[in-house]
Amino acid sequence: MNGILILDGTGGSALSELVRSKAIEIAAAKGYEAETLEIGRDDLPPCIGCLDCITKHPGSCIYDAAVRPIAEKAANRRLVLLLASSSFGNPSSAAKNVMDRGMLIVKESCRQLVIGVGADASDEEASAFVDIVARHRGAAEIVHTRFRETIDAFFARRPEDCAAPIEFLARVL
Amino acid sequence: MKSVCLVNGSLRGRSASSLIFLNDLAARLVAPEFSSSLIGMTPGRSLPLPTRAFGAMACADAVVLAFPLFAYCLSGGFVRFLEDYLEYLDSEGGTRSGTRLYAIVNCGYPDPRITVEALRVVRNFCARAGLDYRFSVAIGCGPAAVMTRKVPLLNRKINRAWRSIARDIESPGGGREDIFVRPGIPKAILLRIKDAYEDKAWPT
Repeated sequence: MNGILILDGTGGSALSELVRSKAIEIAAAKGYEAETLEIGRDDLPPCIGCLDCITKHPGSCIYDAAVRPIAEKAANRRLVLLLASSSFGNPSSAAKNVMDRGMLIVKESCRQLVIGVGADASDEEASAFVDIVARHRGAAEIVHTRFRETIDAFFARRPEDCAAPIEFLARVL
Repeated sequence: MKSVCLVNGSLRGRSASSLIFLNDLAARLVAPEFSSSLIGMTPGRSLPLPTRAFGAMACADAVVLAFPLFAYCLSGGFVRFLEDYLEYLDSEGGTRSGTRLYAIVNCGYPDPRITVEALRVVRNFCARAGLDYRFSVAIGCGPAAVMTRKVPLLNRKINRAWRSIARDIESPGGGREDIFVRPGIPKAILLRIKDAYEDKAWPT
């Protein structure tokens, strides 16, 4: 296992910078290298739901040229951290284009953590975001036999909200 | 006459279950009571949508969003569409007051209640866009529902759901609850079909 990968789909904000720098700090203290990959709105074509990655050519996306470089960077990581801004409680399009390929990008053996950031998110949006990611842990098994999810989720609207995910990171690394 | 804007939130083109459901609904939204228009997305990296598509959505009496469930919520492509629509509204000075919104969510899971977080996202979107959220139709195992939608007895609940949307657009009643439609085919059979597909692709 070679460090952690931070996929930053937030487009940059003071809050996401804070979370990112704290995560890198914790990783370094634990002896892990951290690499960051910024994912913009137009960097990944949206998943079209063809299901070819499950039914026809397992493990690869029809948009292989765009998805494979991220999957290769994520391979054998101790942890993949996805920073996502919120769009009305849903992970934003940039982050969701990654999450829709979660099965291809993040392997079962890798710990996944999703941290939503958004200073203008309402209570309900922050709560929906966490429920979407964390509430169904393991439920993917019902539909996709080989997709066993272990994803933890937090949401930060203020700098003080960053304490919980950073404590979590310190505990699991 | 009520103008209805039907939005296909699937990127699967003509084979999309969402589009098939919208077409079934559109068959009930006929003149002189209704005029309906269909807009959809094109698969691609940047999802270019002409502004006039957003214009039709902003001017309609009612909007129906139909989309597949991706990882318990809206797909990246469809969220992009809604993000872009909010940007459009901001640039145009907001939505027309009183536009009603309905959603049709189809999922691969037999139990349609797995869509509840996606429905929360739709309500949150309505709050931000100034739309009047009415109710949603959540359909379990969408492809199976497509296959059985013309089969008598198996299609009653889905047909009732389309009637409910048409009636509510024409004359909105009080608060309505979301409608959850389970597939007409038993869950055990659906899971066996799914396993057969995956076993073929993932030989052990």
